[in-house]
Amino acid sequence: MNQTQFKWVRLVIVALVATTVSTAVSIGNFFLALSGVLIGMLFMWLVRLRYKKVIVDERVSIISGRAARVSYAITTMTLLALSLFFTVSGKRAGEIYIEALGVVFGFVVLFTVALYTVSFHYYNKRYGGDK
Amino acid sequence: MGEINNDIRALRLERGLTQEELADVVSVTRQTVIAIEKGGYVPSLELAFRIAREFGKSIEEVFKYKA
Repeated sequence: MNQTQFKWVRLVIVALVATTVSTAVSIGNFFLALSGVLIGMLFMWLVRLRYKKVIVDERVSIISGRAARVSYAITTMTLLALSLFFTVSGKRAGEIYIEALGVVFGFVVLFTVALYTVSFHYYNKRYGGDK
Repeated sequence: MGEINNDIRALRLERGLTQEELADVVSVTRQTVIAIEKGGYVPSLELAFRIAREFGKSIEEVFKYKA
């Protein structure tokens, strides 16, 4: 299997899983959605076994790390802004549900920052940082 | 920061290797070989060693550092 074939097969699997999951969600069948995802994962694993070449190398890892960091920064800042907006506007308008939504967003931001901090320290230690 | 150039393209063509063949030998993707040849990506020390050894040369013969 060459790279072009691998990309096409991967695309077809993703399309099939997306179709199955969206159909399952629209008819409210949780089991079908879960089965679709699991079968898709199994097929992807089998295809990767057949494709012998390197898929992820050091350059891809660096790009992934940078993309993840940018995504993290944008997501947390957006959620933080939404959290402040919903909390303040909900409190002013006396809308308890809007305010609660703001608080939930705030906790999501805190959880994400905590997770980032813990994983950063873990990898820093693993790759020879200060112990 | 200095600039790191390389002679990988010339060495590869000299040996009649395609980018895909070189990528397979040094265990990276073809896109990474393209990026290194164009100077858009500077490889790690380990990958630089693997590439240099593939051509039977030292790192400094393959990669040039301009301060």
